[in-house]
Formats: sequence, C-alpha cells, structure tokens
Amino acid sequence: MEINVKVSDLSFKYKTTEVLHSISFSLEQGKTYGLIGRNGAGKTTLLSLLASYMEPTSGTITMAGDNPFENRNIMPHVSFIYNPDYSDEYETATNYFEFAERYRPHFDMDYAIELAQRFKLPIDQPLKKLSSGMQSAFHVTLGLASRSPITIFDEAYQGMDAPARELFYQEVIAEQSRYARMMILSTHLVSEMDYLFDHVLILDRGSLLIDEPYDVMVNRGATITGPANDVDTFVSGMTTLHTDQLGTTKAVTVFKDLNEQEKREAEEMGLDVGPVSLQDLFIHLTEEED
Amino acid sequence: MSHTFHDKKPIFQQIKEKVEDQIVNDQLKEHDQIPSTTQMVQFYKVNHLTIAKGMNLLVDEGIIYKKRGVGMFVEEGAKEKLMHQRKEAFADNYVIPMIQEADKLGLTERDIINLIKEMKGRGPDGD
Amino acid sequence: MHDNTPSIRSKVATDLFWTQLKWTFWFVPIVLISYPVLTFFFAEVQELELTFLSFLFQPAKIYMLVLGIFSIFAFFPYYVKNGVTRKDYFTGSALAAAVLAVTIVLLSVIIMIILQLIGNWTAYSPGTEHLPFLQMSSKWVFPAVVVTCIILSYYIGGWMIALGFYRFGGWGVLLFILIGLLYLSAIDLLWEERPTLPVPDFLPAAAPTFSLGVSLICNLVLIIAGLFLLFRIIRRARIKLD
Repeated sequence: MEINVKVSDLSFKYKTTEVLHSISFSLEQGKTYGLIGRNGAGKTTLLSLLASYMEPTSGTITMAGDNPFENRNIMPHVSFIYNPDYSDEYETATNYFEFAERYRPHFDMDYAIELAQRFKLPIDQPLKKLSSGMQSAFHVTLGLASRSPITIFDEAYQGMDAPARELFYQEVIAEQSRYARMMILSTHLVSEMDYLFDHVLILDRGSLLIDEPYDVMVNRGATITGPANDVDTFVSGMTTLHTDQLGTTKAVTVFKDLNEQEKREAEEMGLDVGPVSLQDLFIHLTEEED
Repeated sequence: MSHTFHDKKPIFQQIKEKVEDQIVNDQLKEHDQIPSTTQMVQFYKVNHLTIAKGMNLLVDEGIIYKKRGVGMFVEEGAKEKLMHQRKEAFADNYVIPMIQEADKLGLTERDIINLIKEMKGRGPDGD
Repeated sequence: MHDNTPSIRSKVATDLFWTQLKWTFWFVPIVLISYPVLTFFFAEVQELELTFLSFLFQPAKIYMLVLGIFSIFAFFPYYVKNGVTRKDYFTGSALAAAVLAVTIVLLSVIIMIILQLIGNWTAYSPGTEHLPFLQMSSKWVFPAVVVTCIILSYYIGGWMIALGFYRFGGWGVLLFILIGLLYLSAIDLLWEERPTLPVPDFLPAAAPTFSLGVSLICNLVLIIAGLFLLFRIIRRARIKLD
C-alpha cells in the first residue's frame, strides 16, 4: 500500500506554548528520513501527531490523501516506536509480539523472534525486569518486525550499547532493501546515523529549518581552511556557520554549495576546501545565539 | 583499514576507487558480481546515495554494468581500461609532484633515478 | 484498501472479553468460597439467607467499576498505540463489557441453581432470598436482567471516572469523579432506593419507588447516555507518551 504523507501548515500549541510553528513537508514510501533536532525542538510532538496520538492545533496531515486521525484504514499502518516507562510492565516481549501480530497487518513473528535472538533479548521475562538497553532493543524489534508502511523511531536507540545500535542500523538498511517502506528516525546522534538517511529534516525550536535530500544537504556546506586574511576574503558574502582559529590559520564553515569556479579560486589562493558532515551542519545551524 | 575515508577527495570518488582497485587486483574479474549497494552501505557505513553516485560513474565509464533486478557486474575489458587510465594518470599523479618536490629539495635527475633503483632493489615493502 | 471495520471491532471485543473473563474466573470462585464462609461466621449474613446472585451483587458492582477504570488506564492507550482507532476501541470494549456482565450473571445463576440442587440432596441449605429490590415474581430471569444492567452501569461509571482523569487531568479529574459518583448514585436510587455512595443533600432522602419496567427503561437510558458521553470524550483523547 502506498501511503505518502503530506503535512501542511501544521502548528501545535500546548497550553500557551507553541511547540510547532507552521510546518509543511511531504514524505514518500521507500525512503528513510532523518528527523534531527536538539532536545525540545518539537521532534516528539511532531511524531506523535503523525502517529495520530493527538490532533494538530491548526494545519493538516494527510496520509494516502486522508486525515489519518481516527482513520481505521490508516492507523494500523503507522507504528510509532519510542521509549516509554516500563517500570510497571509485567507483560513480556512475547505478549507484545502476539498482540502486534494480531493488530498490525504486516507483522512478521519469525523476523521478530530472529531479531530478538540477535539482540539477545529475553522474550519471556516481564519487561520491567529488562535493562534499559534491552527495553530499547525490544522496541526496535517490535518496530522493525511490524513492517508498517510508516514506521517511526523516536530516539529508539536510547540505552542501547554500540554493538546493539550497530545491529539496529544494519537492519534498517537491510529491511529497506527487503521490504521498502517509509522510516522516520529521529535522532541527535547524527554522526552515527547520517548514512542511513535519504532525506533530512532539521527541526529547530518548533520550526522546520531544513527539508532536503541527504546528498543535497551535505553538499551545502564546506570548510575553508588557510591563512586568516585569505579565508576572510574568500568567504566574504557567504553564510558562515562557524569559525575556528589557530594562530594565523582560520577554518570557516560556510553554508553554500561551492561551484567549480569557486573551488578553483580557493585552490589558487592556497586554501583547503573540505566537506562538512551533517553533524557539523546540524550543530552550527541550530546553535543558540549568544 | 579498507573501511576508512579521508577528507581529500569526495567519498563517492573513494568508493569508486575501492571497486577499481579490486578490479585491477583481480579480486573482481570480468562478469563477477560486485557487492550490492545495500551491502556496501552496511560495510562502509556510507549513505546509499553516495554509493550510487560512485557506481553510476563506473557504469558511465564502462567499468561495470547493471542488470535490472539482479545486480552490478564487472564489464568485459574493465581491467585493461582501468590500467590504461591509470598509466595515463601516472605522470600527473605521481611523476610531476615528485619532480616538483625534488626541485624544491635540489635533487638532480640522477639523484632521483638512483633513489628509484635503490628502492626497487629493496623489493616491495608494502605501500 | 479493504474495509476491515468489523474485524477490528470484533477482534477488540473478543480480546478484551477473554482477558477480563480470565480475571472473572478468579473473581467468581473467590466470591463463591466466601459465600458459605461468611454465612457461617456472620449471623447477619446468615439471617439474610441470600441467594448466590444476591450475595455476588455488591462485590460484582465494585469488580466492574474497577475493570472500567482499568479499561481506560491499561487497555485503551495500548490498543490505540497498536493502530486501533479510539472509536473501534470504544465499541469493541463496550461490547466486551456487556457480554462480560451477562457472563458474570449467568455464571452466578448457574452456581445458584447448582447450590440449590445440592441443597435438595444434602444437608446443605443455600440461601433462597433475593435482596429486597430483586424480589419479584420471576425467580431468576428478571433479577438476572436487572443485575446485568446494574453491573454494566458500574463498568460505565468506572470508565467515566478514569476517562475524565485520562483526558482532562486537573479539574477534570474532580469533575468526572463527581459525575461518575452521581451517575452511580442515580443507578442505586433507581433500584435500591438508597444510594450506596455518599450523595449531596439536595437529593431526596427517600427516593420514589419505581415499577420494574420504569426502572429498567431508566437504567437502559442511563447506559446509553453514559456511553454517548464517553464516546464524545474518548474520540478526541490524546494518547500519553508514558
């Protein structure tokens, strides 16, 4: 089923605070989206709106052309995976899997069991007894095995150790090649996960700052390094995101897709032009002004 | 560490060169299937758009070919083509920088040739 | 996209019914065990000579109230998080609650009959008196229908209190506890002619006595009104991320 998402002019107010301001974007099947933002940027609010956990204050969300809220043809196809508090949960992973198998149209039990084994997840213990890393592994398993056309992971890696996170990333890639769907991964661990994204959404204090394909996004920045005066001359007129100086050497991160001519100019001036990682772009774009 | 990348060249270029190296080294022979984009993403931890960019260049240059729904394979004569390209680039990439550096240091042609003979006499000791 | 409406609703109804039935299989036997025990130890209970159905009546009200509260806190968010719409959850769980109420009453009627049969052949003599308001011409059909309606209403009362809490918080909690208590008191007044829960003074001390038919109709109206109110509240409830 092709469920594409269109969000128009979406705002959400909680009491008197506006958590999201007039956000618009669209999402397609078969792509992995990185939703990046600092803590409190509104990521979880946006995702719970997509998951029909609540309704927007204004603006619209459409999935497959319809409002997903209370829509029984759409809600079963949207999985929202986050880390809830399981300190009182006596149910086991197996209980949850069986339930998901009953209510999630694409849930694959064999795959869930296989993943659980690979995560070394004890599936017959009450969830409250699992470590936080294991609880996250359980969630990720539930999300991947549900094979929902729209799968949302909200910082689902929390508490997982490096090998478990690695396994999660590898499975995201493998699943996208086996059963392509729409995956939305929200994170602030950008450097670790950026290679998974087809498309990047950067949320900053409730506004959508960036909505671009990954490759376009990372080409949008460059680091110019060289003698301070020359660097200053070269970057004048460009949007600079960050400046570092060591003695007379200066490194400036610019937010601009340099064309061939500019690259040649830089080379002739004896300046080094380096790429900028998504992580750096994210940090510099969302820095608080002092 | 075949896994890591440096900052000097775009990563898609470096990925492309890794495949080329394998062809030149005979690790991949004519009509051998090369790893899928997904496998390369998992192995190199590089975005699939980046991998695809590198592979598309190889397709354009006639080094590999794609079979729809099957995968990517080494083109006939790919190795010869690469060897030829690399020989042509050898002067630019290695000899000219060497001469420039030698000039700075005041080394004569004879010094350079002697150095080369000396190094070759020691035999290959890695790269 | 095929319309899978009936299957989702009936799945929800079936699943909730079975889960709650499992607990009921604990609840009813515990009441059954305490029936002769209490009769033995407490003279007042013995004097009343209550039938099992009448004996079960008060515990069943509380049991259903607790299940109603539980339905909102434990099941409702869980189902919606698994892609079930609030409306489908509501319909399915209302159906499950109704079937559960009928099942509890049927179980107790069956137990009541078995106890009487045992009484016929052994020295054991079970109580044969219904609670005063259940004493009617019919030995068990009408009492069973009445008890079913009342305990279902208590389930709805539990829902009201919990849903007010879940959806509104703050003052809504107090408001819905009040609405819930008034609702349940109305049910009690309708049948037992006295509220079992504390009610404000403005209600008449002695409630009028209604005929069986009027009480039954009023109770059904209250059930429908309660469900309607709950439906309005639940369909926009925000699912909490905890």
